[in-house]
Amino acid sequence: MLGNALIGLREGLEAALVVAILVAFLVRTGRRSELPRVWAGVALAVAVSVGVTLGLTLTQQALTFSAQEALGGSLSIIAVGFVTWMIFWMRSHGRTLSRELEGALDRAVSMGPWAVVVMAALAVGREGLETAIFFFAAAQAAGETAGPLVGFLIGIAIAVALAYAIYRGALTIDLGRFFTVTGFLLIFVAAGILAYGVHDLQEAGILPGLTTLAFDVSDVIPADSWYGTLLKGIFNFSPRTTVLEAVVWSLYVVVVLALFLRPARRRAPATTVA
Amino acid sequence: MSPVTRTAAGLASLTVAAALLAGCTSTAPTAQGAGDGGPITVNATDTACEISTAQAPAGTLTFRITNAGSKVTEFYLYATGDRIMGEVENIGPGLSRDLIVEVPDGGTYTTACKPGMSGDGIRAPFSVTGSAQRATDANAQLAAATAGYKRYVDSQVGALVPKTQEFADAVKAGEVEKAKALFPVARTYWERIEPVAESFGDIDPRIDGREDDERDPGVGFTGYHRLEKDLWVTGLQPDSAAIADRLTADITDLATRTRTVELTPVQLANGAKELLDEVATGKITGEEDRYSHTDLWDFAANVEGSRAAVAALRPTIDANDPALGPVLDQRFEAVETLLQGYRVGDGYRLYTQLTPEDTRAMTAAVDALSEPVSKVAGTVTA
Amino acid sequence: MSPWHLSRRRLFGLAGAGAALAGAGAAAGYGLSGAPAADGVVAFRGEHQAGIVTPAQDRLHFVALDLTSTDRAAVADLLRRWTAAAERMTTGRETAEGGAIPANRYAAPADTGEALGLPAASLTLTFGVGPGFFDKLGIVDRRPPQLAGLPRFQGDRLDPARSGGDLCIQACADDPQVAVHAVRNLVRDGFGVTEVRWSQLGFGRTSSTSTGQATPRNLFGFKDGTNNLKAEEPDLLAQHVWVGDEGPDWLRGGSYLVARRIRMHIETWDRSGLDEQEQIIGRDKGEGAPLTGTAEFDLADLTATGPSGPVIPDDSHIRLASAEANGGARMLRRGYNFVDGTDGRGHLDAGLFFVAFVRDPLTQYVPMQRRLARSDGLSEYLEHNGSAVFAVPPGLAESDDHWGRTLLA
Repeated sequence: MLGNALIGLREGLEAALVVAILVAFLVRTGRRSELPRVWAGVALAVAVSVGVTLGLTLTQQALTFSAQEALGGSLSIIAVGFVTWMIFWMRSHGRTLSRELEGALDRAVSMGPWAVVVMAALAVGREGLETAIFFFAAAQAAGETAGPLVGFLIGIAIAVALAYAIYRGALTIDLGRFFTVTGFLLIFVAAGILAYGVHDLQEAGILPGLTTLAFDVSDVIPADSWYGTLLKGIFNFSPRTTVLEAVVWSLYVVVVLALFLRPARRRAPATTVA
Repeated sequence: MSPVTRTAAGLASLTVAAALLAGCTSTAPTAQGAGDGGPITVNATDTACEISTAQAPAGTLTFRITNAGSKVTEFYLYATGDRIMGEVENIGPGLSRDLIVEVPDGGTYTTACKPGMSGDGIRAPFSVTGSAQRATDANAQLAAATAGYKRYVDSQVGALVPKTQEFADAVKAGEVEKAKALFPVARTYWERIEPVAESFGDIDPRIDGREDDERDPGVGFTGYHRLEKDLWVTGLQPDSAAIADRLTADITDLATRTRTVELTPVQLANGAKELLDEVATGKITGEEDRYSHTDLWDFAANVEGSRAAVAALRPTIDANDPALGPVLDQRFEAVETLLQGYRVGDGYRLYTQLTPEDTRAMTAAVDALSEPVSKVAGTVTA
Repeated sequence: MSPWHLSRRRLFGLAGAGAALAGAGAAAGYGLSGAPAADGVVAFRGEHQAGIVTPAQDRLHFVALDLTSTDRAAVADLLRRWTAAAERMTTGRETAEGGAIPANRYAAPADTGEALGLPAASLTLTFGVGPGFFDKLGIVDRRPPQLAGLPRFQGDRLDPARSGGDLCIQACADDPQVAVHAVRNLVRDGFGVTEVRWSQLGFGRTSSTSTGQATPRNLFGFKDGTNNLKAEEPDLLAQHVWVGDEGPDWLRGGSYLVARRIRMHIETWDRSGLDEQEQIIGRDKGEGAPLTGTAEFDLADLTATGPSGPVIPDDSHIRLASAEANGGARMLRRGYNFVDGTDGRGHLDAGLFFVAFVRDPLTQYVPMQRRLARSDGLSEYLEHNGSAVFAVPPGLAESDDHWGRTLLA
């Protein structure tokens, strides 16, 4: 029960966190009209994951291991690209907003309608197939024991509740801080997703160095503990991290953080804000 | 396009892409488990990892892992040096998950259950027997095979046209003895590529029809066997020259068509088998050349053609079933040795000079060869 | 339907087959070896080969093969493959999993398919080796003298194409299609190592090999094999059928199979009066009782005399074939009727395909047949045109044991 609930929580958080921030951002910048696109993206990801899983189940087929890993890995890395883009888009937006009156939207940096859909779809879909297959397995077992399915659904529910809490929290902090905090959070989330994607590709044998570990803290932070689950769900932290993962993670964080924190180029003469 | 339709179109294409991706990389459930169908079952608990078998043939393996413990577990199949061949994560307590993994090479692997998703897991050796060929090399090999056999066909057709012309000219000049000597020689090139020639259903009956074949009203008995009857039985007829011209025209037509023929590996393999079927039903029975009795020339040509097709496929055969090639070699040699015993000068003994014991020995040798040849199609498409 | 259901059903199927094997194996553990289980599966493995004391099935397809290879390893390999396929077929399965309808559409099906959907039908496959087997494989030192071959009996008209053979497989089943399918698939796998020498279809068993079976009739219309050895007589079987310590190691617990294709001149027989028919056989036609008794299983009194000599005539079949007349020698007969088209002269080619299992053909079959050939009143209606003797190795015990293993070891 607990084990399956933690799986649900982890998979749920991985998907819901980015969506929550995206929704919070759109709401805060007065773009509620974009929200249907977010849900469309989520629905698309769910539909594709469920559809593919269902198709494979009905035809009694299954993805081969390397295909599954390559798919998850590639989608994760594409997702990182989108999240990164979102970080900088929010940053520029935040600066614009801090300069101009709130509510006056800067048309120069408008997110295409597509980006929102793809963003949401990727956030949910990169792990969607794994989650859907798991869900089916749990549903199959429900004939004999409903425990796994119930546990899994409880985990998902907690993840959604947590994501909602983050969203509510994001709505209450002041706008300037909002951009900084969510930006920071997203950088580490994206770095985690990137490392995760690299790990997948290593497992698929596309990238080398799977057994070269940078550190192994699995006895301190067991992967099946609640805190291990939260760390994995939010930051994709893996207690056994390979050197390549660690390098990629560090590089991403260093580079993106530096870019994120660098002062904006001044277009106008500085006006001291006392 | 409005934003809405653009979105819809995008969604559709994304769905299709995902489905395609799944289609290209999925495996059919015929994956072997314990060799007798069905998956290899793994019963995982918090302290144990019980696998129903410790060995399986190379190919696509299916493990069905059931977590009977209280911790979330993972299942891995490692190759040497802990290279992951396949893994399945998130096997919650009480769940069953399948791992489908392609193991193309035989050898010793390691299975591991990881209760609590940590550590090196509960490991056990797992041996894989035989080896399966990887698809990419196989496709290149098969392409080379069809190209190689195509060259063989072209070379045979290249000789068939002038030899048949020579035979026809002798008929038209009334040089019976010369024509008789050329008849089995010209047919040799025809018989070597008979399955390819027969694929052109409209001209095959005109070239290689028998006197008693059913024909549409007004269509006469033409081709090699009509001239054979003229030369050996009835003497040359007033229309023999016209028949000879018609034969050369048909053979030339055939040559033009074979240049553009596209053969698949399966057609090659089936062609090799059909040539031997021809031997069994047409040559060993003396049915083919009933006037001249030069059946053994055709017999030898059929076997040569069959061997050429098999030889073209040989790299793939060796890759997919190492035991088949040597058997084919031995059986082809046995048939050829047998035929050598019937050689007379440049040709062969006439069918009428064969005893029942001779034809029985030929049947046995051709049967012995045909069985392994019948396995080639399945082997190259495995 | 989900794949899980399917796989569960498959699992039950396999489990069922396993249970059937185990059940049949358990049956073999009793004295009643080779009795078909309720589902028509006769245990393939056991102390003796199935198809000898197994209650005689209705149909036979017997094939004699010649070796075309002198390569001992190739022969051993074929016998290993044959054993695996035979064991599967006797449980009603294909020669190989998915053999009839292969997953690969371009592959020639490994199983010929005509038994798909048919039950096991009590199929037994019995394997034997003939004299030539030892010559061709260079193991003449292992050939027992009993396999030297039969002498020529008076009146024999043996056709070489229907006699002899280096190997034999006797397939018996209650369904002719099942028996033919089995032989056909084994023959097919043998190409290159073996070739068919002759084959014989038979129907309507002419002997009963179990007390649970009624005595059948031959094509002369008479009950045949009333005094046959029965599966329920283990001591007599040990005495008359199973080779003991006198035989080579590889044959102990095995037996010898004598096959004779006996053409019956049924047209002339049918014109004989009832009395003549009964005098020739020595039994009455209705009950099958000996002429000295009233019921089938009454013991024949060979000493009884009537007004015109012995009640059971001196040249009657049962007198000449009796154990008393043959120094106590008995046989386990397991023959079948046949009708193979015509003789080309307006008559049916019909008769008895005689099969007997004996501990020693030279002491049990030869003297009896010599006597019958010379004196039997029935001989005028018979013509032996096929003959062969094979050594039938003992049964296979372990799951990795295969036909000919100890012989070729």
